[in-house]
Amino acid sequence: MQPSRPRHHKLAMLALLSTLATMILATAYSLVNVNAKYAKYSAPGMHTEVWQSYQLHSETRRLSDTANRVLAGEATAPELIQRLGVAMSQLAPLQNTQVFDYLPEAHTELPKTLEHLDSLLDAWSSRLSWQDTSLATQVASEMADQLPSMLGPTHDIIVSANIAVASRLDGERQDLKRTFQRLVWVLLLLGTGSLLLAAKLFRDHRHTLHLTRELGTLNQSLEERVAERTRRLEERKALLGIILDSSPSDVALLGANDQHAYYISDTLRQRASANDSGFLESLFVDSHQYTLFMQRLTSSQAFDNWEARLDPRSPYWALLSVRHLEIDSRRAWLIWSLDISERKRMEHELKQLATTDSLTGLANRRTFLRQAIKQLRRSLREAKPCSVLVIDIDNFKRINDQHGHQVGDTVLQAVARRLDKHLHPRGPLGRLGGEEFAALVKDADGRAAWEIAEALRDDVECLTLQGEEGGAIPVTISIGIATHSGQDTSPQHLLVEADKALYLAKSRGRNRCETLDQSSPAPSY
Amino acid sequence: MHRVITRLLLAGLLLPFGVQAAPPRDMPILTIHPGPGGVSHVLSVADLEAYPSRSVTGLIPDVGDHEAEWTGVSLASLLQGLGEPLPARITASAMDSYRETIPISDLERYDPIVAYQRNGEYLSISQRGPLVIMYPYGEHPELLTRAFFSRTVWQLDELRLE
Repeated sequence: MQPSRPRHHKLAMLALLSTLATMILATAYSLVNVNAKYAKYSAPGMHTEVWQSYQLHSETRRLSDTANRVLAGEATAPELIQRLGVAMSQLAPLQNTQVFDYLPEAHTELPKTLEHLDSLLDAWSSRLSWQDTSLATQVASEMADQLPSMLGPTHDIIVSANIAVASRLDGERQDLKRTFQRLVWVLLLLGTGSLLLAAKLFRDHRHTLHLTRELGTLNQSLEERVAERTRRLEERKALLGIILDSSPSDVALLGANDQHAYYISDTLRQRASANDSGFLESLFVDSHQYTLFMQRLTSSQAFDNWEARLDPRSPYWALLSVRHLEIDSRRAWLIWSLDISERKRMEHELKQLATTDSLTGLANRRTFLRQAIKQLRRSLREAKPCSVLVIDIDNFKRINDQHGHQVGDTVLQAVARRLDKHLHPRGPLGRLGGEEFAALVKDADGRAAWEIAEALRDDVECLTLQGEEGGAIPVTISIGIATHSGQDTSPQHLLVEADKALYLAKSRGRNRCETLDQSSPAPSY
Repeated sequence: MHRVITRLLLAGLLLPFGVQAAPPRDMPILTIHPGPGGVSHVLSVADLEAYPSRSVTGLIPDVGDHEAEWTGVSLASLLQGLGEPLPARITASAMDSYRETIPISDLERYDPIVAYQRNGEYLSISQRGPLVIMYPYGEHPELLTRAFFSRTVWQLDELRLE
């Protein structure tokens, strides 16, 4: 159905065009035809042959009469010449007319009659003279003799002329009739063509009107849709603005080439000292971090969770995420920045809680062991000596019982401070639990460890703590020492060794240092 | 070519009558009858030539004549010269008893002439002379109708003023 429509149109157009061509041709033909007729009928008709024939006939009679009157002496030579001249003038047009060609059947006598009469009149005319009467009488007798016999034939000429003129007029009538018939057909054709054209014009006009109306409707609906779309876009834009502004993340949309700022969150804008092109650089606290960030920015399409310190005036930790976009066919960077200062702080706090003994501030047992393993491995690798001290507060349970837990805690804290003072720079130190502490002393062989332990024990002994009643609380510690012997070993093993040494110290009276290592010179008391 | 043939035809028309000479110029040939009580005037070609001449371009219709310069006397001035007041109409008669009436308005509008020369030559009777009432067809093409053809009277021999 679809392809037949244009074909149908094409055929209609072809038909219309051929009708037009026929119309034009027919009109041109008719114009030529009518123009010929116009030219013909511009001059008045010349159908005077009947009158001329009648005149010839009557002049023949009058010439004959005049000849008789000349013979009777009643007329003169000029009169005869005049009548002869008149008769001759009547003969000439009939000799030259074409009208007798229109006779349905040729009248053979007719040209003979005309010719005979012409020769007679010519002969008589050449013999006559205006003044010669005798010559006129001679000619007149010939005329009187011959002219009466010409009256019959000249009468026949009238009849012939009448028939000829009638035939000619009828021929012209038929010709005119045919012409008018053709004109009628041409006019009919013209009328039909005009009707077709008018119909086509009307149809086209209606079609155009319809199309115009449809186009108008389309245009209007399009405009409405565009307006609706624009309104929605603006709503979305506003919504997006609200979302972005209320988001915990700060957002910046920057041109990749010129760092043109398409959008920068208010908070981010306040934190940077420069706008537009210098914005990003001014945001970073550390220029080295900025350089690294830029390198990453140009090398990868997207990356997340890039930690950086922002805002040089009041630095904070931010987590940066980047996406590459295209805006108006220009590359752009979408940068999200999440303030993670709080998280960082909490992280730090948690780490502290997880690794530290809250009472003494020393590392807890787990942390100490981890640090000790690390340090021990390092010492083994470097083939350096390394010793473990296990420290226990003497009779701590009695202090707790006598003075209360608060005082006990104070004792623990005081001892921890002393331990920290002596051992902190030398290696990992921690509270194993209760009143028991441990320390790993790097680069210390048995002797060195012993000396350190002795110094520590001595220092704690000098510690004076006030009880609640005001009495001094004596605090002493026992220390077990184990030294890494150079073989492959573990902190646990060393701890066990040191623990055994501690037990020995306890059993030998407390407030003393002991070691199981026989190579270490135990001081003698 | 066509023109040449037409001319030959024309010559053929007129030449055969050349054998007849034009009437003597002093021969009385035109009679003018004024209204009742008036005295008739009989005029020869020479008499007409005494009046100021007027030339028009015209032709004798229906006989295959061609346009030519006809010289004669203005009909109006002829009547004036004869001392005749202008009549309502004039009936012109020919030697072959043909006659037709000319309204006086023609004299005022077209000033037809009584011609005695065609292209400077006198005409014999067989050439439809010697006098012809000629209208200025060349100057007024609108005259080319049967009404004026009828008033173009050749072999003129009588004018009757009415």
